[in-house]
Amino acid sequence: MSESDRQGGEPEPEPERTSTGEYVLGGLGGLLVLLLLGFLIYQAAVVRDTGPELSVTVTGVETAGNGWSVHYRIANTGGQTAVQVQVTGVLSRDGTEVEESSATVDYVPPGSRRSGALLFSEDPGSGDLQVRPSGYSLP
Amino acid sequence: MSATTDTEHLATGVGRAVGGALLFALPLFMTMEVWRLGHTVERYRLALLVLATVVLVIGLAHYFGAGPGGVSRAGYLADAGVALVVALLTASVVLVVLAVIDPVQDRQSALSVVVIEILPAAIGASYARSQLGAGSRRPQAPRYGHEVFLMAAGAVVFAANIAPTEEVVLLAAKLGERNAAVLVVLSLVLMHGFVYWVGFGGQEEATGFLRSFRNLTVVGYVAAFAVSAFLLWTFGRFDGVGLPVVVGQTVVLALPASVGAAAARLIL
Repeated sequence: MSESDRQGGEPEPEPERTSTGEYVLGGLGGLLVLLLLGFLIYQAAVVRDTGPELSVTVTGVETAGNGWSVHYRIANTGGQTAVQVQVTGVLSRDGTEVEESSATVDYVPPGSRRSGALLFSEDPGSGDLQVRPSGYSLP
Repeated sequence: MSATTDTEHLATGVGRAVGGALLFALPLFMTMEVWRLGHTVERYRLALLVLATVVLVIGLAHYFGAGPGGVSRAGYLADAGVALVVALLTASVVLVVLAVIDPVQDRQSALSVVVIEILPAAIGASYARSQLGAGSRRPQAPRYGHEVFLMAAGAVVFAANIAPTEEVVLLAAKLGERNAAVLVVLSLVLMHGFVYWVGFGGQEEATGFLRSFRNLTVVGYVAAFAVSAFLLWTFGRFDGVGLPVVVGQTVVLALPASVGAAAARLIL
């Protein structure tokens, strides 16, 4: 842009005022960001990283194909993500192990749940079924 | 100004901001590493990233003409707020629809992913709003501080899209000392060439090669390098690695960052 353009070329745009709507929206943005920052800092400062705390609950059993699928839900109530979580279900009858099935959950972040199913060829209802997390690694 | 035109104006501004946010941040919305980073990045690093985003967006709104009449302090702050809220909402909506985040089952990492994604989205929103008609004002003779800030912002846009990827780690691992040194020189030459030699739209007159090289190109590269290092640190790429790897990764990321820095001087 040359000097003359600046001075005479186009009329000086009349100074617009920021509209009320923009102030409201802008204020909302500021508020949201402050909340976000506050929450993050609170979590960083107050919530201790306790490591993952995993618990598994069986949510249902149903027949599937030639066998049974045991649906589970795994929750992490700790303060850190667990990755490569092994979920193992052991079906035992009269104290002897009949069948074992396991699944790997990619990752379970803190305060989150993941669901999946273990597959059995024996009827899980016919014995004592125990489903538990059997291992994980840290990211 | 009547209520109708006010509303229309607001709608146009917000619409452009959404467009800008998508344009700048969609590649990062669709980058797998970011989804994973959401689970691993510590909260204090995310807080710092949000802080950096806010400072950057306020600076952009302040120096580069905000939306309508963002001349007063309240005006440009409101503008930065609009850009941030639009970035937050755009990122949240797109990521939920893409099923990247699940705010019900997975609050914590949903929040982390959105926080990482609002950096480019907010810059895009802010940039798009600054193009909004008569309100956009470009300082006639940009001051030196503004130019350096602008280069840093451009570096952030490019670097943010590449910093989370595994490729940076891989490239740095394969890069020898000699190639790293060549890469630094190449970045500097590209930066200088972009702005002064190849005749893009906003080409600038060089006021003496050495002076412009030292004052803008080298300083711009340092800004790009610093931005790259900050982003890599935020994403945990420096955890448990030695200094040579740290420098290698930063040099690799500084290549796109410096091109972004140079481009920002032409575009904005």
